[in-house]
This record gives sequence, C-alpha cells and structure tokens, in this order.
Amino acid sequence: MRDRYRKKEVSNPLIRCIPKDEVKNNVLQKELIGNTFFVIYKSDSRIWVISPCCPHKGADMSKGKVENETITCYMHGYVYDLNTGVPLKIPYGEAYGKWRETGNLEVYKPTIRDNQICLDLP
Amino acid sequence: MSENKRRDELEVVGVEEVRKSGLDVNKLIDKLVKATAAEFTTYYYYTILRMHLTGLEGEGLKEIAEDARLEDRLHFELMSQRVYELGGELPRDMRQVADVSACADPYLPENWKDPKTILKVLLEAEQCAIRTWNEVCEMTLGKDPRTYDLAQRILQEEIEHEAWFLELLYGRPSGHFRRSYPGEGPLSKKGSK
Repeated sequence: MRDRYRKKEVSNPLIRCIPKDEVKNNVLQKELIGNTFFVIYKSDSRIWVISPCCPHKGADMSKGKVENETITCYMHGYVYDLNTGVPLKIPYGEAYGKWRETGNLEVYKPTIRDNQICLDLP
Repeated sequence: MSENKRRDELEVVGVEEVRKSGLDVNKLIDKLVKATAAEFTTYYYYTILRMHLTGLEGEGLKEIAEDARLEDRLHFELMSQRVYELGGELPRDMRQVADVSACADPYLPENWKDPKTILKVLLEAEQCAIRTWNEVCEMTLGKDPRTYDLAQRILQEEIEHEAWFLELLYGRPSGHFRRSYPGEGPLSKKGSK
C-alpha cells in the first residue's frame, strides 16, 4: 500500500496530509503513513484516526464496525470509544482471566487544513 | 562477549530480507506467537471437548473433532519453527500461552451433554483461527514468502474445519468425507506439499 500522506507540511515535515476526498465516507480505511499504518474513518461531519491494531490481541481494526462513535473489533467483539479509545464492552467474563484484559485503543487527533486531513506524526 | 550477544549480532539474511520488504518483523513475530499459542490451547481444549462427545450422537462426531484436534497440533508445530527462525520465541511459561493466545479458550460448555453445544464451541474456535491466519496471510503476502506459505496451509485446513462443523450443526454441505487417517493434516503435516 502506498503512502498516501505524501504532501508534507512545509513548516513542519512531521505533519503529513491527505486530501479529504480521498477518504471514503463511512468506511474504515487503512492507510500507510511513513512506516506506520493508521485507520481513518470519516462520517459526514467527523473524522477519526485510530491505530490499526486492537489493544486486546492485535486484530485488524479496519475490519471492525463503527456505530454511534464506537468501533467493534471483528475478532472478539470488544467495543471502544472512537473519541477516547476507552474500552466500553469486554464480551468475555472473569473465567477468561488475564486473556480478556485489554487497554485503550490508540486514537490520534487529525486537523483539517485546506480541505486536507493532516496528522502530526510522532 | 556473551554467547547471546554474539547471537544478536549474527547476520540473518532470512530475517533481513523480510525486514527489507517493509514488514515489521517484531509485529509479525508477536502475531505469530499469539496465533501459534491459539493452536496449542485449542489442541488442549479440543481434547476435553472430544472426550465429552458422548452417547449415540456424540460417537459419530468424535472422529471429526479428533481430526481438527490433531491438525491444530500440527499447526502449532508447523509455525513454532518459523517463530524461532524469525528470531522470536514462544512464552517460556505455559501459563502465558493461554494469556497471549489469539483466540479465547474454547471451554467445555456447561450443558455439554447436548453435542450441539460442543460443536458451537468448536465452530467459534475455528472461525477465530480463520480470522487470525487470514491476517497473517494478508500481512506477509508478497513480503515473507515462507511465513505466507505456512500460514496459508494452516488457513486452508482451518477453513475445512469450519465447513465440517457448519455441516454438522446446520446441514450446510462441506464436501468432506473423511481424512485418510486421524489428523492427517494434508497441508500442514511437515513435508506435505
């Protein structure tokens, strides 16, 4: 997959942008930025950028399902808040011990500049 | 200089080439360890599930559960070697194997006397395995031919297992008759093509 965040901000080379219209609406879109994958989700009015890996067992979050500003991992059904990354639902009970533990989903704050979605790369 | 340090400094062309292809080798190892651990825990739990396929109805299901059980062990053995080739390792503590597993423990259901409840557990485990190995295939396609080859062989057998259990549960034809011998692993047995 090519790095679509090709346009570098002149003043800050760590900021890379992608034209907003290259991101489809209501689709979890996986994009390679430098050497790192991110997942972008755009609805009519909002844009979220998250890690492509579920903090539970590393499943591909681009295969998940978005609903009411939450994302459900397709692998084990864990639900995370898209705004904070906080897990909202852990479908497995205490019997599963340490295996069921998860962390926060990594979320990134994109900015919109000249109709582009920009990310300040770490 | 310790032996371990010298080992770290060795040039491993088989790993370097994977890295040069753009693949994050550490992430791949992490995924493989989780997926391989799932095969091992599945093998263990399937032993218990198979033991509880009892009665007239259960007897006919034992053979298929046994094939899936033994083939999952083959999957564990097949991919374990690859983990070490890439410079990774399996958890040294057995307790961690279940904790890192890519799939949930397929526990014996409470109402196990109904074989369908066991089949549902088996089916769910196979479906998790399919998703997991599919991700490994996607990750390695065109970048790490060896891992891809091993993962796709495992994936193919997991897809077969799912089809068997779907047939038994819901009557959806799988095209399956029987393995040549228990746990044949036509694609995952070492040396198979």
